[in-house]
Amino acid sequence: MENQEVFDKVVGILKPFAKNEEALGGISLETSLMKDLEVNSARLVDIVLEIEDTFDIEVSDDDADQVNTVGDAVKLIVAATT
Amino acid sequence: MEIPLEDLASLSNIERRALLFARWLNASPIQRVSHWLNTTIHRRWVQLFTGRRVHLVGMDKMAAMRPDRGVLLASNHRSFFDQIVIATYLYKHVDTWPRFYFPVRSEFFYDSPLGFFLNVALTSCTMFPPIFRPRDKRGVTRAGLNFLAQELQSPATLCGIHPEGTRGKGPDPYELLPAEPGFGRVVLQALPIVVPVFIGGLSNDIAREVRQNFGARDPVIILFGDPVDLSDFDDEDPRLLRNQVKVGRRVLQDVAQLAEQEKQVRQELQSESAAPPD
Repeated sequence: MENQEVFDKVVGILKPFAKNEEALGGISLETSLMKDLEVNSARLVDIVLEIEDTFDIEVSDDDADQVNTVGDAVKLIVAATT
Repeated sequence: MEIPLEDLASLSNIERRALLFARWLNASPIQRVSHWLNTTIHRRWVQLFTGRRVHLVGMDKMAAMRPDRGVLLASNHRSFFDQIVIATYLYKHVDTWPRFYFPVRSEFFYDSPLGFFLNVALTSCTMFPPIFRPRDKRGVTRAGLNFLAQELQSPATLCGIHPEGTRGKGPDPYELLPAEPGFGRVVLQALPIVVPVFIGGLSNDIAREVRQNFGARDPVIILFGDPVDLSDFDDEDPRLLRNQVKVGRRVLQDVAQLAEQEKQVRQELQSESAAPPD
């Protein structure tokens, strides 16, 4: 799967969880989930579960802990699907 | 509890000192003295201020338990005092376990002198290990969860955890929050006996609680359920987030059933107290 395709799907997953819609408009690989998008830390688990369902992958808690930015999520998915 | 040095370095000075002291106290022979203090002295203070209101359901099952591995009490969390009240009545009625752990969020009890003093003075550091929320301190939290999983292999250990990880603050006292993955990880790693617990009737206002005990006596009801059947999870990978979430949901289902039972018990107690004397 192409990185851009993964990125687009990740943005789609993040949309309902992002409190800062302005940051969502200018989203990039460097965008922080918690600081920029203001995702509630308790909802990070739900995001990872959605990622698992969408990309049919399994994520460990150690890997989930490493996800701070959109780019981290994309990297995780690309590594798990290739 | 093994803590890598780089993780220890992520803590503030007071957090590091408090954690190392609590670790030492729980591992040293002094722990026996601490246990004696908790079970004979400290519990009496809490009993004095709650004893006239507390109604226990299922404590007989806890007292009869002869476990072949550690026991994990999974209770709802609504009041600051939930765990200390549950512990008090366990100490009073049950002498099966020589080691108790009640993991607690690090805020206050591990990052302020007053909080840590209270942890030592009132619980002899059984509020251990601390759970650190900031992401850069997660290594220490992970070390703490691994420690609990290891301790729970032993039938000498009882550990009380709130699967929700934080207090429910919504208007409905029976509503439960989702379980934290860390709870599921401990369960999957240790495969302990998991006993669901529901406690209802406590607020966060200590003055109100004392007044209630000597006045209107709105009951505090603690229900201990039957161990949760988690045999489906015996071979599941503890590291996978999805498995951790599934275990948490499964355990909270049983806690939610106890919440329904609590409503009935509360209604019965209120009807009894409203009935005219014979």
